[in-house]
Amino acid sequence: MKTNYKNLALSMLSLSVQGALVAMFAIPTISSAETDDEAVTLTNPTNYVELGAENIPKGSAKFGEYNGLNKPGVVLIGNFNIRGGDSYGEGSGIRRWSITGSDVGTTSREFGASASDQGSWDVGIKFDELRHNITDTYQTPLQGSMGGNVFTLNSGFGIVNTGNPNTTQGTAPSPSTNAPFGSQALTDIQKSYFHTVNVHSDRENTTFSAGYNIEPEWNVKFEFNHLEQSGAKLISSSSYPYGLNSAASNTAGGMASTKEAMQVLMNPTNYKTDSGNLALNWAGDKGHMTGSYNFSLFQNANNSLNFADPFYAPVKGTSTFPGTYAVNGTTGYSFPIDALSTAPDNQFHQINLNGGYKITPSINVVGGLSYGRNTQNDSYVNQDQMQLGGLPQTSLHGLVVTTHADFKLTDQLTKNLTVNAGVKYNERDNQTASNTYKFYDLGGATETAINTPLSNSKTQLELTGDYRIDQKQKLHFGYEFEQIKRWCDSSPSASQINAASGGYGAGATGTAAQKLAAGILAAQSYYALGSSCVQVPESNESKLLANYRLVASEDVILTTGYSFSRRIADLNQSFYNPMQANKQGFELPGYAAFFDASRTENLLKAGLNWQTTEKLSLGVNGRYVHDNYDSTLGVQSGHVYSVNFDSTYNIADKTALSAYLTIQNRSRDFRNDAGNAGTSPSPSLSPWTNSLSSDDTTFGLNANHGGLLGGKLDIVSDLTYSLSTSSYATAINYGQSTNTCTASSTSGYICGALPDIRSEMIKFKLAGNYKVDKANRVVVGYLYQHLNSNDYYYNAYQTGYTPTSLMPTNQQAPSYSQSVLYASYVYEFR
Amino acid sequence: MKLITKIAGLCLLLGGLSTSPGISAAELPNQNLPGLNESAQAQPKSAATIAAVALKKDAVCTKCHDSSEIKPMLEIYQTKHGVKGDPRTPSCQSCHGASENHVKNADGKATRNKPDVVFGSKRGSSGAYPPSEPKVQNTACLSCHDKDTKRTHWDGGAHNANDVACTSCHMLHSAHDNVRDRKTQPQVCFSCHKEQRADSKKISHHPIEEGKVVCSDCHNPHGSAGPKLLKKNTVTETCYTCHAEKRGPFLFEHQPVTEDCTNCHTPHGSNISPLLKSRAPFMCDECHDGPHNSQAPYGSGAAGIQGGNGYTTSPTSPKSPSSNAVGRACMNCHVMVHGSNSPAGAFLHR
Repeated sequence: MKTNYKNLALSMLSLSVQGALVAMFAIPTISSAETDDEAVTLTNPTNYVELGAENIPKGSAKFGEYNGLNKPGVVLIGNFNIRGGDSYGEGSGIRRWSITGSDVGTTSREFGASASDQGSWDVGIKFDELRHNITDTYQTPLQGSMGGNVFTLNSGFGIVNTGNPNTTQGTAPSPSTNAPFGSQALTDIQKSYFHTVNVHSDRENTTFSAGYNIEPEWNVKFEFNHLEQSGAKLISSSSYPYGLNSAASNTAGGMASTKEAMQVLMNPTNYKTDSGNLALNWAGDKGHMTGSYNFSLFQNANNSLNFADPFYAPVKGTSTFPGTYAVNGTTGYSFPIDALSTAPDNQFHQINLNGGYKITPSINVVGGLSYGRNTQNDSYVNQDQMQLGGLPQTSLHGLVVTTHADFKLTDQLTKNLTVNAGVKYNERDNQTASNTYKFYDLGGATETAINTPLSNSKTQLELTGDYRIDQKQKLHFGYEFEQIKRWCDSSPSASQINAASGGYGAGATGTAAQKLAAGILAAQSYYALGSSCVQVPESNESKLLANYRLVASEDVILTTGYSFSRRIADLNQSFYNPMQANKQGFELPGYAAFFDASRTENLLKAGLNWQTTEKLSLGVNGRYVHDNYDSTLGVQSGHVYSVNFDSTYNIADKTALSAYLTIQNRSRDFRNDAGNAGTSPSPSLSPWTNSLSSDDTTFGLNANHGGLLGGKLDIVSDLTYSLSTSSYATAINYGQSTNTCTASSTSGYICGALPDIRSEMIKFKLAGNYKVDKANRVVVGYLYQHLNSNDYYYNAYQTGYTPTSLMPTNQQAPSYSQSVLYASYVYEFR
Repeated sequence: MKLITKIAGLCLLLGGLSTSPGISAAELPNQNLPGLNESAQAQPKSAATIAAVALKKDAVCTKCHDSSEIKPMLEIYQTKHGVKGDPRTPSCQSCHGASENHVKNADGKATRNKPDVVFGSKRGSSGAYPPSEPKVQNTACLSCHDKDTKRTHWDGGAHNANDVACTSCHMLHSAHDNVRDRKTQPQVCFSCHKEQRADSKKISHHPIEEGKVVCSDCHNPHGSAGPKLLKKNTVTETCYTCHAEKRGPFLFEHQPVTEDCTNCHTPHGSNISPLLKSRAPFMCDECHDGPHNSQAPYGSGAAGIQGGNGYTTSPTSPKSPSSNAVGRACMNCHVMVHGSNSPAGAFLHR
């Protein structure tokens, strides 16, 4: 059902608390002006300037996530919209201009200006700011400002494992007692270093646009956008717990030998992105064409994110702690400094040509071509302690070529039958070279990897038709086909492969040539060659669909639809995951990633839209999708359904009530096998299953009542309630002895249900708009917003409850209750 | 290539089969639309003359449909369709048809015959007359607006196929066209796309309600060559518009990232931050079961000690949740899930 939003002109209430909420009153008052010069009122723009204040009683990053109202206190409400030009008021000119601003008192402010001679030229500029408040509960012992890329630790922090029940430095902990250790046992001194940081990422967007009509059939349009970002987002990090220098002995201490040391860091977002589009358009009587150049240039001010590693322990028998370590040429840091790479600078340039031509009044063809080049050649972050030997090159010289082509023909074969036939082709061809990189893994092991630049293409065909059975019935039907191919076209050389094969080639016997051949044979299983670099080199999907629409009466519309699709994946059983080391890179036989596995999908949908009277409309619609996968292991099945109920009751000209209810459900089941312990690709029949069930309920109620107090007062209210729960449950079907989980048990470390991920939101808004006179209005409003969320995700970050090698952050699942009062004065003029 | 050849042949066949023209602007009575490829600059007449002529044409309608209308018809003069000095600007009858029976009312009926073209999506929103068929309405609009790149793919597009009329979204006579205002546009789209409306209320969402990201930032409702009416050719290209830091290409890539962001993310809203379809390690398990610990089951222990189950390798060992399962789980270490540009980042650790 299509909600009759036009009858709810006053009800644009799912807007932010800020100016947008107040601005909604500026909109209807334009059209409801009742003055002697009504024609003038209606044909000229209503300008307004609005000033006010709102009180934010409590600070909450989540409440102020995007609206700039994250801090307690009084916030300025400021909005304005001023327009002019000689074409208004049934004027004879063609010029118009505007100056606008909204939410000027917050970090969500916008300013804009535009001018045009319609049909001749136009220019516009806009500034848009947005702060994404991510969290206000994050804590870290690291020192360094948010937005920076160096985070250090004071030497007084000591090393993390001082709480180890085995107090001998340099000795691996022995988990023989129930005492906590590692980062679970931070000392009081260490805890004192923790401090809270409000983490946010800011963006400032400046857009300039212009257009010029060169002559009747030709025009040129240009748009340029400068996006500047700052602040940070959270990212995890892990480092080698024994010390980063390859010379360090594995007996140096630190955490248990297989544990990585993890900290959550503030990853700076000091980005600049300049993008633009220059288009030349031609429009003739029967056709049109556009040629354009599109670019996007991304720059990151930081090449690396550097952080102190407090999990480091001095070499046994020495007293090198606190030591002196260097980062970015500065020495004197007390802890080893590890580094993460950051998003590399990159560029994208694309040329496009598209257009359409009407061959006859009933036959129309359209098509387009695009060619793009995505390059990246940012210097690698390089620390000697991470690399084994030299680098093959100091930057990637990365190149991805994207191509696109589409063509579609639309033909009205008969008065009642229209058919569409089209083809689309998209290709991402990664032409970056492959090279060998030797490095130290987090566990200190030496590794060799060859980068495998991934390419793919997608070809889509569609043949659809629309048949009007009669005045009241219509049928839409079609067939769609999609073929996806994947490959790596920059295969490593034989010598690279042999070098990368490690001991497998070296272990072969025979002549040197035989050893080389054996090495290659072994390495082919480990690294990418051609299409073997992907699990599904090719998949083909066919889809049949039909939708039926019945206008049962002037006021009742019924719709229903069904589609069936079947995807066949060509599975590469010898696929080796290039991200993994040794034999762990093999997926189990019969396993396929969900997004490219063979699958059957059925979709059913239906809807009813009933305008019971001129005042009351009702609607219900729903959708059900069921997926079945062929894979022996992996995702087995899933479904999605949703049901929506909507109703609008227009009680009077300016009084309306509307309500909606949406119920959504989603599930996914997969089957796995615990048999691959990293030593063999063969399963050992230790199956287990996991199911996800997600339920969401959203309810909305909106009421507005206008024309009170002799037409001076309008009241609007809006209530939204949403509840979401996501649940995971795991069951094992094999016996094991290391914990309480058995085939028959229902809970334990490796089986059972997890606590629900749950969020419940209530929003209530009430606002009144009082027209003092023709030019003056007062707006008063109240907002209550409540969020209660529970998420086990945060459990692992609480002090004392972390994994032994994970630094706590003490982040909390966001919950708040917020009551906001606001008032503003609006001055309108023409 | 064979497929392309086949479809091209099919297209030619379909083109040849055509026997009946569709509804065209010429079928709308006395429309005489000026066309958008006429320039104000190029007209020999002054803007004042053009405006005077246009207003005289409008007067056929506005002498009755004046400021006393319940619906603010005259507000159209605040819109682009009201710039009468622009020779391309349509008159009332350009869009509604000459509507002679309505204008003359020769029958002298109290309720006049309906105009040739009545816009709107339902009776309640279009006044006294039932709206014309969407195709008839849209033909009036497309007679001018079908010659630009934004509407190239309207024919056969999802909205066209579902009988969405231009006026289902646009308010032509209103000074404020809700769908063209970033603050109000989502409400218009949500009037049909109700799952997306519900998604936008979830705990993890793009700033849609705040007007900072709106539907038309990603989608072209008038049709496109991309999936799901996306403005760009692919999902990834669309997302990189704002998230250029994810574009790479990276030294070490992650396959699903290079193909489609929606393999892992659900852009309209999610109960699992950040806009994820599922939670690690289970999300990762949907693609990996061999490497490393992806073959290991995790149950209630993935909730950590506070979830009631720590990692107990033996009854006497200290409780210590596995970093493979809790918090970010796999991404506690494999932090560069979108790709790594570190020469030590083959396993997406750095």
